[in-house]
Amino acid sequence: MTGARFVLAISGAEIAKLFRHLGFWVVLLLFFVGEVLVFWQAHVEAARHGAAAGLFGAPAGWLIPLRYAGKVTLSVSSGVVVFFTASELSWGTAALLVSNGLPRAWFVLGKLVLATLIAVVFSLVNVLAIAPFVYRESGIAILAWSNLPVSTTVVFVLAAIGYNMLALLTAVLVPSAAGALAAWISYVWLVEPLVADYLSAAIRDIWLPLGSLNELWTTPASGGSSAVLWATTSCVAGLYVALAVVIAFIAVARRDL
Amino acid sequence: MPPPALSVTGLTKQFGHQAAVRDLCFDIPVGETCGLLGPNGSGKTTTLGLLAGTIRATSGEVVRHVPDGGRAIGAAIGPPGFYPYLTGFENLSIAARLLDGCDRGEIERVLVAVDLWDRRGSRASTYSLGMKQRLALAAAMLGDPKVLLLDEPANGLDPRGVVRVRDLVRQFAGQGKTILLSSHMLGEVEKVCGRVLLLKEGQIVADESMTALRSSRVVLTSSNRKLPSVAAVFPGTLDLLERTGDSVTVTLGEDVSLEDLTRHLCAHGVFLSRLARAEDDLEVLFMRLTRSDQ
Repeated sequence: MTGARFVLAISGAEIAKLFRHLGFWVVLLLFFVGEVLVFWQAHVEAARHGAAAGLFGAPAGWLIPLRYAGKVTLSVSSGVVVFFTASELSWGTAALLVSNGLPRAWFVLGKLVLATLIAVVFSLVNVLAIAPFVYRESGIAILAWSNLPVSTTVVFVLAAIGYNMLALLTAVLVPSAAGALAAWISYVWLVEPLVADYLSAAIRDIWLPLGSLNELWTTPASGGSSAVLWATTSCVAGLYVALAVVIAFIAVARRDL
Repeated sequence: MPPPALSVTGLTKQFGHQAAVRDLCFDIPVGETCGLLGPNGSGKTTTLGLLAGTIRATSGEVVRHVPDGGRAIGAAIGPPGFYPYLTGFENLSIAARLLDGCDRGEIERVLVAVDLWDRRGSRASTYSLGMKQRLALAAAMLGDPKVLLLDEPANGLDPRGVVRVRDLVRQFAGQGKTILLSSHMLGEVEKVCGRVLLLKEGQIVADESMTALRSSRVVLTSSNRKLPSVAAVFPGTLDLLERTGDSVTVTLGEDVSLEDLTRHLCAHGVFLSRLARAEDDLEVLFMRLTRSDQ
Protein backbone atom coordinates (compact mmCIF):
# COMPACT_ATOMS: atom_id res chain seq x y z
CA MET A 1 0.00 0.00 0.00
CA THR A 2 1.40 3.41 -0.91
CA GLY A 3 2.02 6.01 1.78
CA ALA A 4 -0.93 8.21 0.86
CA ARG A 5 -3.36 5.30 0.61
CA PHE A 6 -2.09 3.96 3.91
CA VAL A 7 -2.68 7.30 5.65
CA LEU A 8 -6.16 7.45 4.10
CA ALA A 9 -6.87 3.92 5.27
CA ILE A 10 -5.68 4.78 8.78
CA SER A 11 -7.79 7.95 8.85
CA GLY A 12 -10.85 6.04 7.68
CA ALA A 13 -10.31 3.37 10.32
CA GLU A 14 -9.89 5.94 13.11
CA ILE A 15 -12.97 7.90 12.07
CA ALA A 16 -15.03 4.70 11.83
CA LYS A 17 -13.90 3.57 15.29
CA LEU A 18 -14.48 6.95 16.91
CA PHE A 19 -17.91 7.58 15.45
CA ARG A 20 -19.11 4.06 16.25
CA HIS A 21 -18.29 4.46 19.95
CA LEU A 22 -21.38 5.42 21.92
CA GLY A 23 -19.22 6.84 24.71
CA PHE A 24 -17.78 9.44 22.35
CA TRP A 25 -21.25 10.77 21.50
CA VAL A 26 -22.32 10.72 25.14
CA VAL A 27 -19.24 12.75 26.19
CA LEU A 28 -19.76 15.14 23.28
CA LEU A 29 -23.44 15.65 24.12
CA LEU A 30 -22.72 16.14 27.83
CA PHE A 31 -19.98 18.59 26.95
CA PHE A 32 -22.32 20.55 24.67
CA VAL A 33 -25.19 20.61 27.17
CA GLY A 34 -22.79 21.52 30.00
CA GLU A 35 -21.39 24.43 28.02
CA VAL A 36 -24.84 25.70 27.06
CA LEU A 37 -25.93 25.60 30.71
CA VAL A 38 -22.81 27.42 31.87
CA PHE A 39 -23.16 30.10 29.18
CA TRP A 40 -26.84 30.50 29.93
CA GLN A 41 -26.05 31.02 33.62
CA ALA A 42 -23.35 33.55 32.69
CA HIS A 43 -25.77 35.29 30.35
CA VAL A 44 -28.45 35.54 33.06
CA GLU A 45 -25.95 36.83 35.60
CA ALA A 46 -24.61 39.43 33.18
CA ALA A 47 -28.12 40.62 32.29
CA ARG A 48 -29.05 40.89 35.98
CA HIS A 49 -26.07 43.12 36.63
CA GLY A 50 -26.99 45.30 33.73
CA ALA A 51 -24.07 44.57 31.44
CA ALA A 52 -24.65 46.51 28.29
CA ALA A 53 -26.28 44.39 25.64
CA GLY A 54 -25.77 41.34 27.79
CA LEU A 55 -22.63 39.33 28.05
CA PHE A 56 -22.52 38.20 24.48
CA GLY A 57 -23.63 41.31 22.73
CA ALA A 58 -20.16 42.84 22.51
CA PRO A 59 -18.58 42.87 19.07
CA ALA A 60 -16.17 40.10 20.04
CA GLY A 61 -18.70 38.31 22.20
CA TRP A 62 -18.11 35.09 20.39
CA LEU A 63 -14.60 35.00 21.86
CA ILE A 64 -16.13 34.26 25.22
CA PRO A 65 -16.43 30.54 24.62
CA LEU A 66 -12.77 30.43 23.86
CA ARG A 67 -11.77 32.32 26.98
CA TYR A 68 -14.47 30.97 29.23
CA ALA A 69 -14.49 27.30 28.41
CA GLY A 70 -11.19 26.94 26.64
CA LYS A 71 -9.39 24.91 29.26
CA VAL A 72 -12.41 22.69 29.86
CA THR A 73 -12.68 22.06 26.14
CA LEU A 74 -9.01 21.21 25.92
CA SER A 75 -9.20 18.94 28.97
CA VAL A 76 -12.24 16.99 27.78
CA SER A 77 -10.92 16.71 24.25
CA SER A 78 -7.51 15.47 25.41
CA GLY A 79 -9.16 13.13 27.92
CA VAL A 80 -11.03 11.47 25.06
CA VAL A 81 -7.74 11.03 23.21
CA VAL A 82 -6.13 9.44 26.27
CA PHE A 83 -9.08 7.08 26.69
CA PHE A 84 -9.15 5.91 23.07
CA THR A 85 -5.38 5.54 22.77
CA ALA A 86 -4.80 3.75 26.07
CA SER A 87 -7.88 1.56 25.60
CA GLU A 88 -6.68 0.42 22.21
CA LEU A 89 -3.40 -0.67 23.80
CA SER A 90 -5.10 -2.46 26.70
CA TRP A 91 -7.80 -4.13 24.57
CA GLY A 92 -5.03 -5.82 22.60
CA THR A 93 -6.34 -4.61 19.26
CA ALA A 94 -3.07 -2.84 18.48
CA ALA A 95 -1.21 -6.08 19.21
CA LEU A 96 -3.58 -8.02 16.97
CA LEU A 97 -3.03 -5.66 14.05
CA VAL A 98 0.74 -5.39 14.53
CA SER A 99 1.07 -9.17 14.80
CA ASN A 100 -0.77 -9.39 11.52
CA GLY A 101 1.76 -7.33 9.69
CA LEU A 102 0.94 -3.67 10.25
CA PRO A 103 3.95 -1.48 10.97
CA ARG A 104 3.96 -0.08 14.51
CA ALA A 105 4.03 3.46 13.14
CA TRP A 106 0.43 2.80 12.09
CA PHE A 107 -0.67 3.08 15.69
CA VAL A 108 0.79 6.53 16.34
CA LEU A 109 -0.19 7.81 12.89
CA GLY A 110 -3.74 6.70 13.54
CA LYS A 111 -3.81 8.41 16.90
CA LEU A 112 -2.42 11.62 15.40
CA VAL A 113 -5.41 11.59 13.08
CA LEU A 114 -7.67 10.84 16.03
CA ALA A 115 -6.15 13.63 18.14
CA THR A 116 -6.60 16.15 15.33
CA LEU A 117 -10.15 15.05 14.61
CA ILE A 118 -11.18 15.24 18.24
CA ALA A 119 -9.52 18.65 18.65
CA VAL A 120 -11.49 20.03 15.70
CA VAL A 121 -14.79 18.47 16.79
CA PHE A 122 -14.60 19.69 20.39
CA SER A 123 -13.40 23.15 19.38
CA LEU A 124 -16.35 23.52 17.01
CA VAL A 125 -18.79 22.24 19.62
CA ASN A 126 -17.38 24.80 22.04
CA VAL A 127 -18.13 27.59 19.57
CA LEU A 128 -21.49 26.06 18.64
CA ALA A 129 -22.59 26.03 22.26
CA ILE A 130 -22.29 29.80 22.50
CA ALA A 131 -23.75 30.57 19.09
CA PRO A 132 -27.41 30.92 20.14
CA PHE A 133 -26.57 33.46 22.86
CA VAL A 134 -24.38 35.59 20.65
CA TYR A 135 -26.93 35.57 17.86
CA ARG A 136 -29.86 36.41 20.15
CA GLU A 137 -28.18 39.44 21.68
CA SER A 138 -26.03 40.82 18.94
CA GLY A 139 -27.61 39.45 15.82
CA ILE A 140 -24.19 38.23 14.76
CA ALA A 141 -24.25 34.78 13.30
CA ILE A 142 -20.80 33.74 14.48
CA LEU A 143 -20.75 30.70 12.26
CA ALA A 144 -20.98 32.86 9.16
CA TRP A 145 -17.56 32.88 7.59
CA SER A 146 -17.33 36.68 7.48
CA ASN A 147 -17.90 36.94 11.24
CA LEU A 148 -15.53 34.20 12.22
CA PRO A 149 -12.06 35.51 13.05
CA VAL A 150 -10.30 32.64 11.40
CA SER A 151 -6.88 33.23 12.92
CA THR A 152 -8.12 32.94 16.51
CA THR A 153 -10.15 29.87 15.73
CA VAL A 154 -7.22 28.27 14.00
CA VAL A 155 -4.81 28.88 16.89
CA PHE A 156 -7.37 27.47 19.31
CA VAL A 157 -7.71 24.34 17.20
CA LEU A 158 -3.92 24.14 16.95
CA ALA A 159 -3.62 24.47 20.71
CA ALA A 160 -6.24 21.73 21.08
CA ILE A 161 -4.24 19.52 18.73
CA GLY A 162 -1.12 20.27 20.79
CA TYR A 163 -2.92 19.32 24.01
CA ASN A 164 -4.07 16.11 22.38
CA MET A 165 -0.57 15.19 21.22
CA LEU A 166 0.71 15.57 24.80
CA ALA A 167 -2.26 13.48 25.93
CA LEU A 168 -1.39 10.88 23.31
CA LEU A 169 2.13 10.65 24.69
CA THR A 170 0.76 10.09 28.21
CA ALA A 171 -1.52 7.32 26.94
CA VAL A 172 1.38 5.59 25.21
CA LEU A 173 3.68 5.79 28.23
CA VAL A 174 1.27 4.66 30.95
CA PRO A 175 0.36 0.96 30.75
CA SER A 176 -3.37 1.04 31.64
CA ALA A 177 -6.27 3.15 30.38
CA ALA A 178 -7.38 4.17 33.89
CA GLY A 179 -3.80 4.96 34.88
CA ALA A 180 -3.22 7.04 31.77
CA LEU A 181 -6.43 9.02 32.31
CA ALA A 182 -5.56 9.61 35.97
CA ALA A 183 -2.02 10.66 35.06
CA TRP A 184 -3.24 13.08 32.41
CA ILE A 185 -5.95 14.66 34.58
CA SER A 186 -3.45 15.01 37.43
CA TYR A 187 -0.96 16.69 35.17
CA VAL A 188 -3.46 19.11 33.64
CA TRP A 189 -5.27 20.14 36.81
CA LEU A 190 -2.68 19.53 39.53
CA VAL A 191 0.95 19.14 38.55
CA GLU A 192 1.38 21.93 36.04
CA PRO A 193 -0.80 24.46 37.93
CA LEU A 194 1.19 23.72 41.10
CA VAL A 195 4.48 24.15 39.29
CA ALA A 196 3.15 27.29 37.63
CA ASP A 197 2.41 28.79 41.06
CA TYR A 198 6.12 28.87 41.81
CA LEU A 199 7.11 30.47 38.51
CA SER A 200 6.81 33.97 37.21
CA ALA A 201 4.16 34.63 34.56
CA ALA A 202 6.82 35.16 31.90
CA ILE A 203 8.28 31.72 32.51
CA ARG A 204 5.11 29.71 33.07
CA ASP A 205 3.34 31.11 30.01
CA ILE A 206 6.20 30.29 27.73
CA TRP A 207 8.17 27.40 29.15
CA LEU A 208 5.58 25.04 30.62
CA PRO A 209 4.09 22.64 28.04
CA LEU A 210 0.41 23.37 28.70
CA GLY A 211 1.16 26.94 29.74
CA SER A 212 2.65 27.66 26.33
CA LEU A 213 -0.29 26.03 24.57
CA ASN A 214 -2.77 28.04 26.66
CA GLU A 215 -0.86 31.21 25.92
CA LEU A 216 -1.00 30.35 22.24
CA TRP A 217 -4.77 30.77 22.11
CA THR A 218 -5.51 33.11 25.01
CA THR A 219 -3.23 35.85 23.70
CA PRO A 220 -5.05 36.47 20.40
CA ALA A 221 -8.42 35.92 22.08
CA SER A 222 -7.74 38.57 24.70
CA GLY A 223 -6.49 41.18 22.31
CA GLY A 224 -2.91 40.08 22.05
CA SER A 225 0.48 40.97 23.44
CA SER A 226 3.72 41.50 21.59
CA ALA A 227 4.11 39.57 18.37
CA VAL A 228 7.63 38.54 19.35
CA LEU A 229 6.44 37.06 22.62
CA TRP A 230 3.63 35.21 20.91
CA ALA A 231 6.01 33.88 18.26
CA THR A 232 8.38 32.67 20.99
CA THR A 233 5.52 30.95 22.79
CA SER A 234 4.41 29.35 19.52
CA CYS A 235 7.90 28.00 18.87
CA VAL A 236 8.18 26.57 22.38
CA ALA A 237 4.71 25.02 22.16
CA GLY A 238 5.54 23.61 18.75
CA LEU A 239 8.74 22.11 20.10
CA TYR A 240 6.90 20.44 22.97
CA VAL A 241 4.33 18.99 20.60
CA ALA A 242 6.95 17.78 18.12
CA LEU A 243 8.92 16.23 20.97
CA ALA A 244 5.77 14.51 22.28
CA VAL A 245 5.05 13.03 18.84
CA VAL A 246 8.63 11.83 18.37
CA ILE A 247 8.73 10.26 21.84
CA ALA A 248 5.34 8.63 21.19
CA PHE A 249 6.69 7.05 17.99
CA ILE A 250 9.82 5.82 19.82
CA ALA A 251 7.82 4.54 22.81
CA VAL A 252 5.47 2.54 20.60
CA ALA A 253 8.37 1.23 18.54
CA ARG A 254 10.12 -0.03 21.67
CA ARG A 255 7.23 -1.23 23.78
CA ASP A 256 5.88 -4.76 23.99
CA LEU A 257 2.28 -4.80 22.81
CA MET B 1 14.44 -30.25 2.82
CA PRO B 2 12.42 -27.12 1.96
CA PRO B 3 14.01 -23.73 2.66
CA PRO B 4 13.15 -22.10 5.99
CA ALA B 5 10.19 -19.77 6.21
CA LEU B 6 11.31 -18.57 9.63
CA SER B 7 14.81 -18.62 11.06
CA VAL B 8 15.41 -17.85 14.70
CA THR B 9 18.93 -17.25 16.02
CA GLY B 10 19.91 -16.59 19.61
CA LEU B 11 16.51 -15.14 20.47
CA THR B 12 16.33 -13.89 24.05
CA LYS B 13 13.74 -11.84 25.88
CA GLN B 14 14.32 -10.44 29.35
CA PHE B 15 11.53 -8.93 31.43
CA GLY B 16 13.59 -7.09 34.04
CA HIS B 17 15.95 -9.69 35.45
CA GLN B 18 13.70 -12.57 34.42
CA ALA B 19 14.48 -14.27 31.11
CA ALA B 20 11.23 -15.30 29.45
CA VAL B 21 13.08 -17.06 26.64
CA ARG B 22 16.78 -17.71 26.30
CA ASP B 23 18.92 -18.19 23.24
CA LEU B 24 16.30 -19.84 21.05
CA CYS B 25 17.62 -21.20 17.77
CA PHE B 26 15.45 -23.02 15.26
CA ASP B 27 14.20 -22.96 11.68
CA ILE B 28 10.71 -23.66 10.46
CA PRO B 29 10.83 -24.93 6.88
CA VAL B 30 8.27 -23.76 4.34
CA GLY B 31 5.11 -25.82 4.54
CA GLU B 32 5.85 -27.36 7.93
CA THR B 33 3.30 -27.53 10.74
CA CYS B 34 5.23 -27.25 13.95
CA GLY B 35 3.88 -27.58 17.48
CA LEU B 36 5.21 -25.41 20.29
CA LEU B 37 4.72 -27.13 23.62
CA GLY B 38 5.62 -26.36 27.18
CA PRO B 39 4.17 -25.92 30.63
CA ASN B 40 2.57 -22.65 31.73
CA GLY B 41 5.16 -19.88 31.85
CA SER B 42 7.64 -21.74 29.67
CA GLY B 43 7.74 -18.91 27.12
CA LYS B 44 5.43 -20.13 24.34
CA THR B 45 3.38 -16.94 23.97
CA THR B 46 6.51 -14.80 24.32
CA THR B 47 8.17 -16.81 21.55
CA LEU B 48 5.19 -16.34 19.25
CA GLY B 49 5.04 -12.62 20.16
CA LEU B 50 8.72 -12.28 19.28
CA LEU B 51 8.14 -13.99 15.94
CA ALA B 52 5.09 -11.84 15.20
CA GLY B 53 6.82 -8.61 16.22
CA THR B 54 4.53 -7.60 19.09
CA ILE B 55 7.32 -8.25 21.60
CA ARG B 56 10.74 -6.72 21.18
CA ALA B 57 13.66 -9.11 21.54
CA THR B 58 16.38 -8.30 24.04
CA SER B 59 18.84 -9.99 21.69
CA GLY B 60 18.86 -12.39 18.78
CA GLU B 61 17.23 -12.33 15.41
CA VAL B 62 14.12 -13.51 13.61
CA VAL B 63 14.39 -13.74 9.82
CA ARG B 64 11.24 -14.19 7.74
CA HIS B 65 12.08 -15.76 4.41
CA VAL B 66 8.74 -14.95 2.89
CA PRO B 67 8.46 -14.21 -0.82
CA ASP B 68 7.27 -10.74 -1.80
CA GLY B 69 3.62 -10.18 -2.54
CA GLY B 70 0.68 -10.90 -0.31
CA ARG B 71 0.71 -11.04 3.42
CA ALA B 72 3.70 -12.56 5.16
CA ILE B 73 2.45 -13.50 8.60
CA GLY B 74 -0.95 -14.00 10.14
CA ALA B 75 -1.11 -14.38 13.88
CA ALA B 76 -3.55 -15.05 16.68
CA ILE B 77 -1.55 -14.63 19.86
CA GLY B 78 -2.56 -14.31 23.49
CA PRO B 79 -6.03 -13.28 24.63
CA PRO B 80 -8.01 -12.19 21.56
CA GLY B 81 -8.15 -8.38 21.42
CA PHE B 82 -11.00 -6.65 19.63
CA TYR B 83 -12.88 -3.37 19.73
CA PRO B 84 -15.67 -4.46 22.08
CA TYR B 85 -18.18 -1.93 20.74
CA LEU B 86 -17.76 -2.99 17.12
CA THR B 87 -19.33 -6.05 15.54
CA GLY B 88 -17.27 -9.02 14.44
CA PHE B 89 -17.60 -7.87 10.84
CA GLU B 90 -16.61 -4.29 11.69
CA ASN B 91 -13.60 -5.49 13.64
CA LEU B 92 -12.38 -7.42 10.64
CA SER B 93 -13.23 -4.47 8.37
CA ILE B 94 -10.88 -2.28 10.41
CA ALA B 95 -8.12 -4.86 10.03
CA ALA B 96 -8.93 -5.40 6.36
CA ARG B 97 -8.91 -1.66 5.66
CA LEU B 98 -5.32 -1.55 6.89
CA LEU B 99 -4.15 -4.79 5.29
CA ASP B 100 -3.68 -4.33 1.60
CA GLY B 101 -5.82 -6.40 -0.70
CA CYS B 102 -8.57 -7.38 1.72
CA ASP B 103 -12.03 -6.63 0.44
CA ARG B 104 -15.51 -7.46 1.70
CA GLY B 105 -15.39 -10.83 -0.03
CA GLU B 106 -12.24 -11.72 1.89
CA ILE B 107 -13.91 -10.84 5.20
CA GLU B 108 -16.87 -13.02 4.27
CA ARG B 109 -14.54 -15.89 3.32
CA VAL B 110 -12.73 -15.91 6.67
CA LEU B 111 -15.91 -15.44 8.72
CA VAL B 112 -17.54 -18.36 6.94
CA ALA B 113 -14.39 -20.44 7.45
CA VAL B 114 -14.51 -19.96 11.22
CA ASP B 115 -18.30 -20.35 11.32
CA LEU B 116 -19.01 -16.80 12.48
CA TRP B 117 -20.81 -15.45 9.44
CA ASP B 118 -24.21 -15.74 11.13
CA ARG B 119 -22.95 -13.73 14.13
CA ARG B 120 -21.12 -11.12 12.08
CA GLY B 121 -23.52 -8.39 13.17
CA SER B 122 -23.12 -8.98 16.91
CA ARG B 123 -20.81 -6.82 18.97
CA ALA B 124 -17.50 -8.43 19.87
CA SER B 125 -18.25 -7.77 23.56
CA THR B 126 -21.14 -10.25 23.33
CA TYR B 127 -18.96 -13.03 21.92
CA SER B 128 -17.98 -16.00 24.07
CA LEU B 129 -14.29 -16.79 24.53
CA GLY B 130 -14.57 -19.50 21.89
CA MET B 131 -16.12 -17.06 19.40
CA LYS B 132 -13.40 -14.52 20.12
CA GLN B 133 -10.82 -17.23 19.51
CA ARG B 134 -12.42 -17.95 16.16
CA LEU B 135 -12.61 -14.25 15.30
CA ALA B 136 -8.89 -13.95 16.09
CA LEU B 137 -8.28 -16.90 13.80
CA ALA B 138 -10.33 -15.17 11.10
CA ALA B 139 -8.24 -12.01 11.51
CA ALA B 140 -5.08 -14.10 11.17
CA MET B 141 -6.44 -15.66 7.97
CA LEU B 142 -7.22 -12.30 6.32
CA GLY B 143 -5.16 -11.74 3.20
CA ASP B 144 -4.10 -15.38 2.92
CA PRO B 145 -0.77 -15.16 4.79
CA LYS B 146 2.09 -17.55 4.05
CA VAL B 147 2.96 -18.15 7.70
CA LEU B 148 0.50 -18.62 10.56
CA LEU B 149 1.39 -18.21 14.21
CA LEU B 150 -1.37 -19.61 16.40
CA ASP B 151 -1.34 -19.43 20.18
CA GLU B 152 -3.66 -21.95 21.80
CA PRO B 153 -6.23 -21.62 19.00
CA ALA B 154 -8.47 -24.28 20.55
CA ASN B 155 -8.41 -22.71 24.00
CA GLY B 156 -11.94 -22.27 25.36
CA LEU B 157 -13.58 -24.12 22.50
CA ASP B 158 -16.12 -26.93 22.89
CA PRO B 159 -15.28 -30.30 21.29
CA ARG B 160 -16.99 -29.31 18.04
CA GLY B 161 -14.95 -26.09 17.97
CA VAL B 162 -11.76 -28.02 18.67
CA VAL B 163 -12.45 -30.29 15.70
CA ARG B 164 -13.24 -27.27 13.51
CA VAL B 165 -9.98 -25.56 14.45
CA ARG B 166 -8.09 -28.79 13.84
CA ASP B 167 -9.68 -29.09 10.41
CA LEU B 168 -8.79 -25.48 9.64
CA VAL B 169 -5.18 -26.00 10.65
CA ARG B 170 -5.04 -29.11 8.48
CA GLN B 171 -6.60 -27.14 5.65
CA PHE B 172 -3.92 -24.43 6.02
CA ALA B 173 -1.23 -27.10 6.08
CA GLY B 174 -2.75 -28.66 2.97
CA GLN B 175 -2.41 -25.28 1.22
CA GLY B 176 1.32 -25.38 1.88
CA LYS B 177 1.30 -22.76 4.62
CA THR B 178 3.92 -22.75 7.34
CA ILE B 179 2.33 -23.04 10.76
CA LEU B 180 3.68 -22.65 14.28
CA LEU B 181 1.05 -23.73 16.76
CA SER B 182 1.28 -23.56 20.51
CA SER B 183 -1.09 -25.68 22.53
CA HIS B 184 -1.63 -27.46 25.79
CA MET B 185 -3.64 -30.11 23.98
CA LEU B 186 -0.98 -32.68 23.25
CA GLY B 187 -3.42 -34.87 21.35
CA GLU B 188 -4.29 -31.98 19.04
CA VAL B 189 -0.64 -31.20 18.39
CA GLU B 190 0.03 -34.85 17.69
CA LYS B 191 -2.82 -34.94 15.19
CA VAL B 192 -1.83 -31.90 13.14
CA CYS B 193 1.89 -31.26 13.61
CA GLY B 194 4.80 -32.87 11.86
CA ARG B 195 7.30 -31.62 14.41
CA VAL B 196 7.33 -30.41 17.99
CA LEU B 197 9.47 -27.90 19.85
CA LEU B 198 9.28 -28.34 23.59
CA LEU B 199 10.03 -25.32 25.74
CA LYS B 200 10.95 -25.40 29.39
CA GLU B 201 11.87 -22.30 31.34
CA GLY B 202 12.40 -20.39 28.13
CA GLN B 203 14.68 -22.87 26.46
CA ILE B 204 14.13 -25.54 23.85
CA VAL B 205 14.59 -28.91 25.52
CA ALA B 206 13.37 -31.05 22.62
CA ASP B 207 13.04 -30.55 18.89
CA GLU B 208 11.76 -33.71 17.29
CA SER B 209 9.74 -34.79 14.32
CA MET B 210 6.55 -36.65 15.13
CA THR B 211 7.81 -39.55 13.03
CA ALA B 212 10.94 -39.86 15.14
CA LEU B 213 8.89 -39.53 18.29
CA ARG B 214 6.50 -42.23 17.23
CA SER B 215 9.16 -44.66 16.15
CA SER B 216 11.69 -44.19 18.91
CA ARG B 217 9.73 -45.30 21.97
CA VAL B 218 8.90 -48.91 22.59
CA VAL B 219 7.31 -50.80 25.45
CA LEU B 220 9.07 -54.07 26.31
CA THR B 221 7.35 -56.67 28.45
CA SER B 222 8.99 -59.70 29.99
CA SER B 223 8.65 -61.70 33.20
CA ASN B 224 12.45 -61.73 33.46
CA ARG B 225 13.50 -59.29 36.19
CA LYS B 226 16.72 -58.56 34.36
CA LEU B 227 14.78 -56.75 31.59
CA PRO B 228 15.45 -53.17 32.76
CA SER B 229 19.16 -53.67 33.35
CA VAL B 230 19.70 -55.56 30.11
CA ALA B 231 17.65 -53.05 28.09
CA ALA B 232 19.61 -50.22 29.68
CA VAL B 233 22.97 -51.57 28.50
CA PHE B 234 21.79 -52.10 24.92
CA PRO B 235 23.97 -49.73 22.83
CA GLY B 236 20.97 -48.25 21.00
CA THR B 237 19.04 -47.36 24.15
CA LEU B 238 19.02 -43.63 24.77
CA ASP B 239 16.80 -43.53 27.79
CA LEU B 240 14.89 -45.80 30.13
CA LEU B 241 11.63 -43.94 30.62
CA GLU B 242 9.47 -45.86 33.07
CA ARG B 243 8.76 -49.25 34.57
CA THR B 244 5.24 -50.51 35.02
CA GLY B 245 4.93 -54.05 36.35
CA ASP B 246 6.76 -56.30 33.92
CA SER B 247 6.99 -53.56 31.29
CA VAL B 248 9.70 -51.07 30.54
CA THR B 249 9.42 -48.13 28.13
CA VAL B 250 12.66 -47.22 26.40
CA THR B 251 13.74 -44.58 23.92
CA LEU B 252 15.86 -45.90 21.08
CA GLY B 253 18.26 -44.10 18.82
CA GLU B 254 17.08 -43.18 15.32
CA ASP B 255 18.91 -45.92 13.41
CA VAL B 256 18.35 -48.74 15.87
CA SER B 257 16.32 -51.69 14.63
CA LEU B 258 14.00 -53.63 16.86
CA GLU B 259 15.62 -56.84 15.62
CA ASP B 260 18.96 -55.77 17.10
CA LEU B 261 17.25 -55.00 20.38
CA THR B 262 15.45 -58.36 20.62
CA ARG B 263 18.66 -60.16 19.63
CA HIS B 264 20.51 -58.34 22.42
CA LEU B 265 17.83 -59.22 24.96
CA CYS B 266 17.75 -62.89 23.89
CA ALA B 267 21.55 -63.08 24.12
CA HIS B 268 21.19 -62.05 27.79
CA GLY B 269 18.44 -64.56 28.47
CA VAL B 270 15.59 -62.06 28.40
CA PHE B 271 12.66 -63.19 26.25
CA LEU B 272 9.92 -60.72 25.50
CA SER B 273 6.24 -61.59 25.87
CA ARG B 274 5.27 -58.30 24.19
CA LEU B 275 6.93 -55.55 22.20
CA ALA B 276 4.91 -52.50 21.17
CA ARG B 277 5.32 -48.91 20.07
CA ALA B 278 4.55 -46.50 22.90
CA GLU B 279 1.23 -44.84 22.09
CA ASP B 280 1.39 -41.85 24.40
CA ASP B 281 4.69 -40.62 22.97
CA LEU B 282 4.14 -36.90 23.13
CA GLU B 283 2.65 -36.96 26.57
CA VAL B 284 5.51 -39.06 27.89
CA LEU B 285 8.04 -36.75 26.28
CA PHE B 286 6.25 -33.74 27.70
CA MET B 287 6.05 -35.16 31.21
CA ARG B 288 9.61 -36.38 31.19
CA LEU B 289 11.22 -33.24 29.85
CA THR B 290 9.17 -30.80 31.87
CA ARG B 291 9.62 -32.52 35.23
CA SER B 292 10.54 -29.90 37.80
CA ASP B 293 13.51 -31.94 39.08
CA GLN B 294 15.27 -31.76 35.72
